[in-house]
Amino acid sequence: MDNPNLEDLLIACRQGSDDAFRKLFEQYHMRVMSTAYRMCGNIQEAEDVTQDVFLKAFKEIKKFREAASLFTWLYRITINLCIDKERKRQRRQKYHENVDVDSERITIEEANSNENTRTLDQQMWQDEIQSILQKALSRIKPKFRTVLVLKDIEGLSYEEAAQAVGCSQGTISSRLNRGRKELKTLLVKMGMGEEYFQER
Amino acid sequence: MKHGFTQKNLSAYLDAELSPDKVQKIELHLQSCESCLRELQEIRSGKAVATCFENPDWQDTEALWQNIQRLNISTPEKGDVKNLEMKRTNLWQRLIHPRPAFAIAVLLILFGINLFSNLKQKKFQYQRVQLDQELSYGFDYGLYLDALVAGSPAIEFERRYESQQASYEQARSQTTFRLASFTHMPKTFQLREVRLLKNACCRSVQFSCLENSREVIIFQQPQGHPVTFGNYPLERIELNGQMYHRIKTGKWTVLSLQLKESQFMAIGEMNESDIAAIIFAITTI
Repeated sequence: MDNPNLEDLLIACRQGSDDAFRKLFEQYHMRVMSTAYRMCGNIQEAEDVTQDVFLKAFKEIKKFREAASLFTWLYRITINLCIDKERKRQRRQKYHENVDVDSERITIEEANSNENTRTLDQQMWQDEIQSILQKALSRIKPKFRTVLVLKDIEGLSYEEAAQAVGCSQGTISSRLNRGRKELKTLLVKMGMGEEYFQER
Repeated sequence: MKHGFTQKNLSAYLDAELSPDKVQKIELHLQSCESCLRELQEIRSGKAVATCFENPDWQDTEALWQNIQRLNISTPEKGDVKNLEMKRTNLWQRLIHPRPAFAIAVLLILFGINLFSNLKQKKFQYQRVQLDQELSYGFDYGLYLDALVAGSPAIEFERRYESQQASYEQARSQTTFRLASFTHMPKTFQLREVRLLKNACCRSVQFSCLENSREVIIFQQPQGHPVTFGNYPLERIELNGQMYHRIKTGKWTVLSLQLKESQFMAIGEMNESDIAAIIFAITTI
């Protein structure tokens, strides 16, 4: 449980209190936004999803009873909306599995070889790495990406991730296997150096 | 120790989510299985790189909250996401969206064409269903037409078949087939349906006239089974080069028309202009 007053907050939300909604938003919006960002791959879409998640949550909170699983419920809404959005996007434009892997390899290899770039503009370098990581993540199938985001990036436990996704913990484990392996394979293809794969 | 169990649970093993006995089993298996060990290494690398993700700096979450609040209040059903999607897009933009606009235009054109052709032609449009061949075995059409023309089919029918223990109501309860129906007809008459009632005792057939006296039944006789008309006098008439027979009894008229090898019948209340229209309908079947 994140907050001992969560039950009270939930009751106030059900009664339509704007303050309670505001508190709920403040408490969870970063998690929602971050998950949406990892799932969608861009900030604008993540903000749209966050907006929709809270609007949907405010609408359906009257039906929601278990305060203990409030944040997994929000994760579930987030994941579903992200997947819906992705489906709509895929309908509009054909999804290309192998686009730009080679061009990203060049970018990252150039960056690796240019020590000056690394020292002169560490932030740009970091941004570049983050962009490559996000691109690789976006290419993983949604069901594997979802557990990777929830477990490895958002830090949920197996039980919480299973609750959010609506499957067993065993399934979370096997999907994580697949997600982690795919992430590594894609990043190696993009030229990511070995140092990134070492445990920290 | 099974290979599959280990492979499935490698992530859970890495994340220390397994019970001690399962951990022991997996470790035992890993000591003797190279491929699972390699797999574990891959997964470990993937897990390590997943920790490199950093969240971007979110600009102004206050603006996001203001937006949510505004939409939540302005939406009739609080927070209805579908309604919101509607609101986000300008109404006119939605209306002139190419696909709906094209579909509406096509529908309007089709409607216009249909209306114009109806106004212009006012023709008969009908479906025709051949009488079932089975109908022609041992039926007494002549009898039934007599009864129908007399205007009280139920009574006549019952009286006739009383000796064979088949009442009109019994016959009526049997299977009903729609044999023919007209979709658009002139106002003067309208064919609704021809009903066939099969009775197990006497194998009789009934062509039932609907109660509205302006309705006319048209049907086609199977080859080699001409309809007889009992004792009613036949009137032989020529219309537009087409010969037909007519019987008039009370308010009912029966028309009989021989076309090639088929005999067509029309039964109902009709005036002279109706007859011309009916003959036209029959000859264009």
